[in-house]
Order: sequence, then C-alpha cells, then structure tokens
Amino acid sequence: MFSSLANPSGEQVEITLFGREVLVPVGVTVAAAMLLSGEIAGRESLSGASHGPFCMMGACFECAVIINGKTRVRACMTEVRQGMKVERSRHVEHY
Amino acid sequence: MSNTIEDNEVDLLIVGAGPAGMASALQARELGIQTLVVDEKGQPGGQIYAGHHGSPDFDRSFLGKDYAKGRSLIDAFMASDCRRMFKSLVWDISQDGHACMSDGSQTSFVLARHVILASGALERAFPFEGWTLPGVMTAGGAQILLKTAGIVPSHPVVLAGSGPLLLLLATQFLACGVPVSAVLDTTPASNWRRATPFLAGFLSSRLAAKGAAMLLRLRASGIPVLGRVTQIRAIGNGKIETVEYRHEGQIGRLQAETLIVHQGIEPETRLARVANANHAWDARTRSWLPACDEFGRTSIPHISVAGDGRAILGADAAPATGRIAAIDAAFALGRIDRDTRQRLSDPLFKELRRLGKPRKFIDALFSPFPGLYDNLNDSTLVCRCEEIPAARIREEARRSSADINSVKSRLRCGMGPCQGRFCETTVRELLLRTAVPSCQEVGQLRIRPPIKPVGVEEIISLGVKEIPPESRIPLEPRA
Ligand SMILES: Cc1cc2nc3c(=O)[nH]c(=O)nc-3n(C[C@H](O)[C@H](O)[C@H](O)COP(=O)(O)OP(=O)(O)OC[C@H]3O[C@@H](n4cnc5c(N)ncnc54)[C@H](O)[C@@H]3O)c2cc1C
Ligand code: FES
Repeated sequence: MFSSLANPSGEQVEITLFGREVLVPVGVTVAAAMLLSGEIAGRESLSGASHGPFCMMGACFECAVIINGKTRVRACMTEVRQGMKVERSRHVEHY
Repeated sequence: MSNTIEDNEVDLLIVGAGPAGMASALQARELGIQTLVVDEKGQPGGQIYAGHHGSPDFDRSFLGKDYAKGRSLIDAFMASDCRRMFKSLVWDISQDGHACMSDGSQTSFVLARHVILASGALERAFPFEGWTLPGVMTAGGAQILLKTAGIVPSHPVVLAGSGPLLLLLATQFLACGVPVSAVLDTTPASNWRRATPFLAGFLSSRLAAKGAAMLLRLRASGIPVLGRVTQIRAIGNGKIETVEYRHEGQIGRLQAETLIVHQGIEPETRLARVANANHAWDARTRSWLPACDEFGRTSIPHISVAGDGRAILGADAAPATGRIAAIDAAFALGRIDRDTRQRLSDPLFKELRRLGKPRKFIDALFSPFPGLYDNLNDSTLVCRCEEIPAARIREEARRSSADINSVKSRLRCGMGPCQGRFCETTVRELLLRTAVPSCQEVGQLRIRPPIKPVGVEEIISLGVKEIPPESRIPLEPRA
C-alpha cells in the first residue's frame, strides 16, 4: 500500500477508478491516484499479465489506461480531474 | 502560458524545462533571443526539481538542500519573459528546425532558427526475472511520486541495484518514515576496481561528502545495506510478493509489496536521432551520445544538446551546459561574435571542468557491468511491451545478423509503445555478447517520428502542414 504525506484535510477530487469511486488529492497524477487507492496495475499485457506504473516519467507506457473513453493514455502524465473515468486497458488498445 | 503559438516562428526552441533547459532559456533571454520552451510535463523542474511548483502541498524540506536549490532557478525561469508551453510533447524535429508538438489531442508546429535539446535522461533498464510484475518500480519513478505527490510506500520496501540515486532515495525514504527492509547493492567488485584510479578526483568533490553522509545515515538507521548482490528475482502471482537475491554465496528472500530498482541513467537522445544528428559510441558509459562540439552543437548546425541529454554530467552541470548552448545559439543566430561567445562561455567551461572531476569515478563505479547481461536468464523478458525474452534475442543474433535494427524488425522489440526506451540497451548488450560484433555493427535503433505514440487522428489531421519531406535528411545508417 501507499500513503500520502500531504495534509489529509487538503482539497480532494472524486474519480471513478476501475469502476469504483475514490477520493484523491487535487493535483496528483492518475498513476499516483491508482497507487494511493491500492491499484498497482492498470493494463493487461500481450500475454494477459498485469502490468502497472513503472517509470512514472512518461517513458515506459506501462501505466497506459483508458481515460474518459480515450485509449492509451499514460496515467503518470495525466492529472486527475473531478469526475474523471479511468478504465483498465488491454494490450490491443495500445495501437 | 498559452498553448498556442501565434506566429509559428521562433529564434530559439528549447525542448525540456529541467535545469539545463531553464538555465538555457534564462541565458538566451539575457542575450535578447526570442525563446520558446516546451516540456511534456505540466510543471518546470525536470527530473531533479520535479514538484517544486506542484500540488498537493506538503513539507518538502526532507528532500534535502540539493532539491531546495532548484527553487530559485524555477522562480527565475517562471518570471522570465520567454514563452513556455507545458504538457506538450515535441515528437518530431527536422533538420531545418521544424518541430511538431502535441498537447495530447492536437499537434502544432513551430519553425525554430535554432533548437536546444535539453531532454534529460532515462532510467537504464535493469532486466531480471519478474521485473515486469506490478509493484516493481524504478527509483526515479518512486522519487517522482514522492516529490510531486508526496506519495510513498507504507509497507516495507526493498531497494535493489546500483547508483547514487538508489542511496539518495533510501535516505529520503528514511527521512519521511518509509520502512525500508534492505538495500541490495548490485555494484560488483570489478566496478570498484575500475573506479579506484579516479578516486582522488572524486574525494575532493562535494559529492564524496554527500555520498559518505548518505551511507552513514543508512548505517546508523540499521537498514541492512548488502553489497555485491547478484541474481535479483521478483516472485509473485500477478504482483510482487517476494524478492530473491544472492549474497555471499547464499540465497536470501525478503517479503515485499514494492521493489524499487535502479541501474543508473542514460541520455534520452531520441530527438537528436530523429533529426538524424550523428552519434558516437562512448565506451566509458557504454552508450551512444550525440556527437557535439564543446558548446553542444551537433552535426546539424541548427541543433544543440545540453544537460543530461548530451551526456550524463549531473544536475549541477546541467545549467552550465544549458547556458553554453544558449550562448552558442546567440552566435549561430548572428547576435554575438565569436570572441563574445568565448568570453561568455569561459567561466562556464571552467565550472564544467571542476564538476567533471568526480564524474570519472562515478561513471566507472556505476557503469553497466557485464554480469547484468551475462547472467540474464533466457526466460527473462527484455522487451516489456512486446514481451520478448532474452532467448529470442540471443537466438536471432546467432542465426542472422546482430544489427539492432534488423533484430527490431524481426522480433518487434523496440516497436512497442516505449519505442525501445526500456530494451535498447539490453538488446545491444545481448547482441554484443552473442555474436561478438562491434558496437558499430550493432548500431543504434533508428528512431522515426513520432518519438512517442501520438494519436493517428492527430497525425492525419496535420495534412499539408507536415514537415516537408525535402527538409528531412534521408535515413541512412550512421557511422
Ligand atoms: C528519473 C530520474 C530521477 C533523477 N533524480 C535525481 C536526483 O534526485 N538527484 C540528482 O542529482 N539527479 C537526479 N537525476 C539526474 C538528473 O535528472 C539530472 O542530472 C538533471 O535533472 C538533468 O537535468 P536536465 O535539464 O538535463 O534534464 P531533466 O531534468 O531530465 O529535464 C528534461 C526535461 O525535458 C522534458 N522532455 C524530454 N523530452 C521531451 C520532449 N520530446 N518533448 C517535451 N519535453 C521533453 C522532460 O519532460 C523533462 O522535464 C534523475 C534522473 C532521472 C531520469
Ligand atoms: S509509468 Fe512509465 S509511462 Fe507512465
């Protein structure tokens, strides 16, 4: 599990993460929100294995998810927004 | 901070708002050059100073003095009157200075009379069995999470690998109360032997004191720091559960929900490559570096490189190389004469020489060592995107050619979304070991635009505005 050093009474937003409503701090990335919510994997690889955020700097594409219907979005490069819908992605959606 | 460019032309385009790019922009504005800085991230600071301008707010003081130091550079940069575009990926640069950048849904263009690539570094891949399991993360990644979001593992973590960043992260974790079960240092004795001749240059630098302080703090905390560890394995079902390793002839196991790995960093040179600038093999760091003169000017007269994207010189040297590149850009643009360029650059060259002294030691100590690749299991995935194991690459090298581009087209490693960022080095090292060709024969992955995946719709909608083909040098194998 991951936890936040930020003030717990700080501003938060609600997002739908893999079908579940979660509250996360304003300003963090979707990848950070995933880890904070206990979701360490967001995509399925070619062989069906679970993969999750790895580099956090936009280089590896392991954090690719579907955000508001858009496929192949890097969770680590996308800031959370109120009402955002984040879904798991499968390898085929990479292309 | 508008995301549109009105006139589409600029004197100087700087890619990257890390220390190199920011210092470059400040220098350029001091010399009166119209400047545009573009960064893929939402905030300035690059890797080292990530999060200074971010939310959520939390006390970042435990990150240390070196981190705090970035604040004044960022403030000066944000106060300067250069143009800034964040959340914009530069995905193509032609030899004549046309650049394409995407904000994630739309691509715009700019024609720059001079370009400085300050695109920083990437974490070097560290392949071992199980490194694709969720819960295995890079040290740089863990640090970004820490600096930008204040998010840290709350369960015991294991840190494994080699390099100053690993120790730095361990001490930062310690300072903010993250439970660290162990640091597994994979730096082999052979690297220590290679580094010893350069010890004097290192010991007289600030870095030596910093490194010693970090080690002392770790020792005092009681966190086990095991040296000369080999055979790291991550084991688990759908996520990491156990870390296995070999230390002093014994196999050890640790429970871990998070394994942080690090094996040094290497320059991100994809834009220089897409522009077809020449690169040269650097035996010391075992990497291809953009070939450039002392000012950072590449083989393409309008394109310069600065910071870690030029060569790994570290955060303190990045601003100096950035400033030098900007001074040289002013010369290239005809704003200053040759003598002025020299006069302005001389103090910076002097500073670089000073900062370069400890580098030889660090480079030797943390350079990619043979054991990383020699002992790679056949079943270990080398390419994470296309899930290609080491065996396939070895087999390909034995059966046909060991040219990295042919291997890429036959096996697809380097064709996935990361476009080789996390497999190129491993593939090259495996090819070198299996077929024994030279680095020149193995070559460098040919990089085609877009350097990171950009939506097909976006590229199609570019229509006629796309970079004119005549301005792109034909892609030929480089020397
Ligand atoms: C993950 C990581 C963590 C690090 N942590 C530390 C540390 O804690 N301490 C330390 O001393 N050193 C650290 N280093 C080394 C350190 O990054 C450098 O020495 C220093 O930051 C180099 O500065 P730079 O300006 O050259 O590059 P960077 O700081 O890396 O900045 C490069 C910038 O360019 C942007 N960029 C790259 N390509 C594009 C593109 N195509 N389009 C748009 N923007 C682009 C990036 O988003 C980034 O903001 C780290 C390196 C990495 C890779
Ligand atoms: S975690 Fe690597 S791209 Fe997001």
